[in-house]
Amino acid sequence: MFNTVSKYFSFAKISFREKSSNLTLIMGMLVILSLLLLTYNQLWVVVGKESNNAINHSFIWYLLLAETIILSAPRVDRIFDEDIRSGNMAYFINKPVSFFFMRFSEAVGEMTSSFITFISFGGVLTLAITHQVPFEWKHLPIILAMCYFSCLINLFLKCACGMSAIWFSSTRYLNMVVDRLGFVFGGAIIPLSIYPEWFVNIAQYTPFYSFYYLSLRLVYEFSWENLLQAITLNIFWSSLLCAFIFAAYRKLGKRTQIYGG
Amino acid sequence: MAVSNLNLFWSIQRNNFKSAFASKSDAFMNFFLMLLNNLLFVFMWWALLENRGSINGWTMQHLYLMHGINNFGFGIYAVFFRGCEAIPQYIENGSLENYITSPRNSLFLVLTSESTFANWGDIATGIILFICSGYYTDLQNIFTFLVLTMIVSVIFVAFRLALSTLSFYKNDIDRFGHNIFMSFLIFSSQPASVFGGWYKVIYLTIIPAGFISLFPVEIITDFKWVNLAILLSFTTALSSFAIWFFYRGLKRYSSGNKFGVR
Repeated sequence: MFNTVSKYFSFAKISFREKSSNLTLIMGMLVILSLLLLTYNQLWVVVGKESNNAINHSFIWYLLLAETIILSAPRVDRIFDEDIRSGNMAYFINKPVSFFFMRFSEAVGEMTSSFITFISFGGVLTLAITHQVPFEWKHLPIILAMCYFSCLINLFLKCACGMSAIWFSSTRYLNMVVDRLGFVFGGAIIPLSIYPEWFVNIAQYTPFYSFYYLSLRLVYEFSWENLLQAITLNIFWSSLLCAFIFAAYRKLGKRTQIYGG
Repeated sequence: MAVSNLNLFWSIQRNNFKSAFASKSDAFMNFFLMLLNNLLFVFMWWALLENRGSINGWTMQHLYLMHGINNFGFGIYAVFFRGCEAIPQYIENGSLENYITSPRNSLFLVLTSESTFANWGDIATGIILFICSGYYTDLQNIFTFLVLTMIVSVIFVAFRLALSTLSFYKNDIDRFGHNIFMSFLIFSSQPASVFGGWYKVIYLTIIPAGFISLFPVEIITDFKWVNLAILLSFTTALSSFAIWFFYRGLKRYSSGNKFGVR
């Protein structure tokens, strides 16, 4: 058991190091994050002024965590898609590692590196923009843990999209729409409290509501009840996603055909 | 020469269509997924404006118009000239030779070398949003809208070409260029009315998304020759720079030894 875990931990460690050493890529991602934070800060400043409502600072912290979830996710859907379509996965079938867990561990390593970069750089930038935090410092580790949990669920969702390659010819646009559904149903960019009530009632039945809105709301509305609700729903949705991924993976294993050459 | 290039252009597009329709169901599904993706984004802004009424004077009508022009322009870029995104890849794997050794215009061949059928969904989004904006009733507005989408698509192509061309000068810079282009897209999808002060300077210089989202909307809603002149001057300057930068970079390109047939 320990050997199995350490094997996959090594994959995660290697991709963590690789991602952390690519400075050009990190710089590019930080430019995007900074622009997003500054642009939406400007939007909330304008909206806040017009409605005489000081909503600015809590929304920017909320946005930082939402963007961390979105931007930290590696393109694991494309990797699965390409591996399945090109037959590359066949190379790994006879290796003493599970193809799925290998790719998943690599993605977790990459995601963790991005998560740390975005949270640390974005945290400093957001603090510089807002000059205040909407949460109590003692709750920060819990908020960050919940944000990381949400990143993992987002990764499950991307794996599920990638696994759909056994049914679809290209999963690129499917993944794009799933991301966009997260923006809307999860309130990833504009918090759900701004949407009409009828829409929020629908959004509640989607996984995005749980891993974006409920988890991220803790940053400005922390309570133990809210935390419990977020954890329960996140566990429920991640179990469903894992069940789908493993069912698809089993189907994939049965469908895989290896030709000589 | 121009007629010959135009014939070549149509023949490339015909082939792209044929290959996209090799699987009709996939082509249509990707098209609808793209359409859905764009409309979901607009829905997000609708929810905000439904709640707040307007953002610094911009109403949903302005946003429909902005996203309409933006999507249509991006659609033209992605359907017909997406090859500029692939330049770093061509440089890296040596396939640029396929284009520069041809007697045809090499930049034209590179630009038209890639196409994505799903981005017809962007063009459809553009038309739908233009109708939603309510400006479609006037023939002059329809004509202005079409001209503006062409200008916007030229800006997209020129900006992406300039960023891709950086790969001639420095290794491993394609991801950086991609991220800057993404920032450009992010900036251009925000209501222009939120930018003021230093933001506006960045919005019109370093990442010149204002020429895609601010000027075209103002030209349709409140036509002034000066705005059109500014937009045209910027487009001409940017495309001239991108073409010059590409050919200058091309001189630095060292040939590989990869053999291929095209």
